[in-house]
Amino acid sequence: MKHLPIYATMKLADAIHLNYLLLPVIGRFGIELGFGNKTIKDICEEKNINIDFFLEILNSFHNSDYFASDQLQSYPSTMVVDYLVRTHNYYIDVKIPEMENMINLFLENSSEKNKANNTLITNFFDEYKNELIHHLKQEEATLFPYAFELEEAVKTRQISQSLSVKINTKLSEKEHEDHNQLEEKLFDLKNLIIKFLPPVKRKDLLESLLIELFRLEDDLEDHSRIEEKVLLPKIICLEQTLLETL
Amino acid sequence: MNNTTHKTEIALCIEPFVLKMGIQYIIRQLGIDASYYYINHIDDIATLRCKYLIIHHKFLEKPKMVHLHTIQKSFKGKILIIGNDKINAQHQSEFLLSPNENEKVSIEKISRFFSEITPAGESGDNDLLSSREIDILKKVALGYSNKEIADHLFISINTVITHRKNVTEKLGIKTISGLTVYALMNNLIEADDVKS
Repeated sequence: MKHLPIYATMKLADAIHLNYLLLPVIGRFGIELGFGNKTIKDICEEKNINIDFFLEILNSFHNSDYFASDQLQSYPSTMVVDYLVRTHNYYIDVKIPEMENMINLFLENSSEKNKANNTLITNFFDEYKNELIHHLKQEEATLFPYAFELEEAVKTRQISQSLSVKINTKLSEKEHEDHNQLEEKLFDLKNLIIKFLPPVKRKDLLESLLIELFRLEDDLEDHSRIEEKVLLPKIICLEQTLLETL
Repeated sequence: MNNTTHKTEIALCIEPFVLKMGIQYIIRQLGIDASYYYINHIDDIATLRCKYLIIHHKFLEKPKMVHLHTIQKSFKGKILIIGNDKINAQHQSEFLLSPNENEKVSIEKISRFFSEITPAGESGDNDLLSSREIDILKKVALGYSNKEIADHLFISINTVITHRKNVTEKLGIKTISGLTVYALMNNLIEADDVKS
């Protein structure tokens, strides 16, 4: 039952009961709680959301094996990028500050004995955080506009000099590498806390932080999957179309 | 979920779709992060490089009779046969699962087949780093490159790489900054000595 797909005539409340990790996803589409017994279809019509796209995103998040179809690739770049940017904002404006608060509270509440170790963890988190933010900003500055440029060039059948240079820079490979590095760092952070941090005074705070790290990891994993399995193939496909028409 | 460890490569030579999916479902339930190769013909096994093969007994009978020994000549990994006892009388396989088994037995048999990678199979002693590994860890944590470490300790770069791989596997920490935090926490190095 757990991997039952989410469909249009399902009540959105039931979908959330099925998998509460979808909560931030619906938030990114501008849906707020308090939707009563409305179905996904109703809500999408009300909020002017493309229902097929919404369902694809929900299902790919809900079940990591869902990406069997090429369906998602048929949506325009703007729609995909729009969702990705909203996800970035969620990390930068909501998740990261939330975790920073937690980690600061944790640090303030450490005993003298634990202070040094806890500071190490905090610094490591900061390092990770900075790299993550840098990566997200980088994508917004290079990868996303590039997708738009390509789409536009295919539409108008005109390719600028600057665009033709970019086609050869293998942005997608770098993207994949960056994701791996970030994943490794987050995994290390979790493991340092789980395996090696000596017992702390406020283990409740540490536990909440750890749970948040796991959730962030899940969320990011899905996010990278959409970038790597939807946006990047789309970019590669556009690149090929362009190269062939030239 | 865990994408930082290596995936377990498993070859599946099973025709009935429901059975093939069922096996994969159980493997996932066991927490094994797997990638699959689907084999449709017994001759393709010879070229396989992975460690695990799960084969339906039909493939041992059609299009021609093949004995398990023959497969084992070219395939050096572990083999699990899906079939009943009658099948096994011929093949004498170490790992056999009948599709008629109940949940408990099926899961037990499959997890025993993968037992090396289940947590119960790991020995706690592996966690301890050898003194040489600690030497390497210290250098890595301080920010030295493989080449520099090799020169300092009078060993080859390949040896350094092997030690690093073992350290990472034992600690479950991959990044250099993660290893630095570990080394500092355990007082293996001084913060002031870390190369910036």
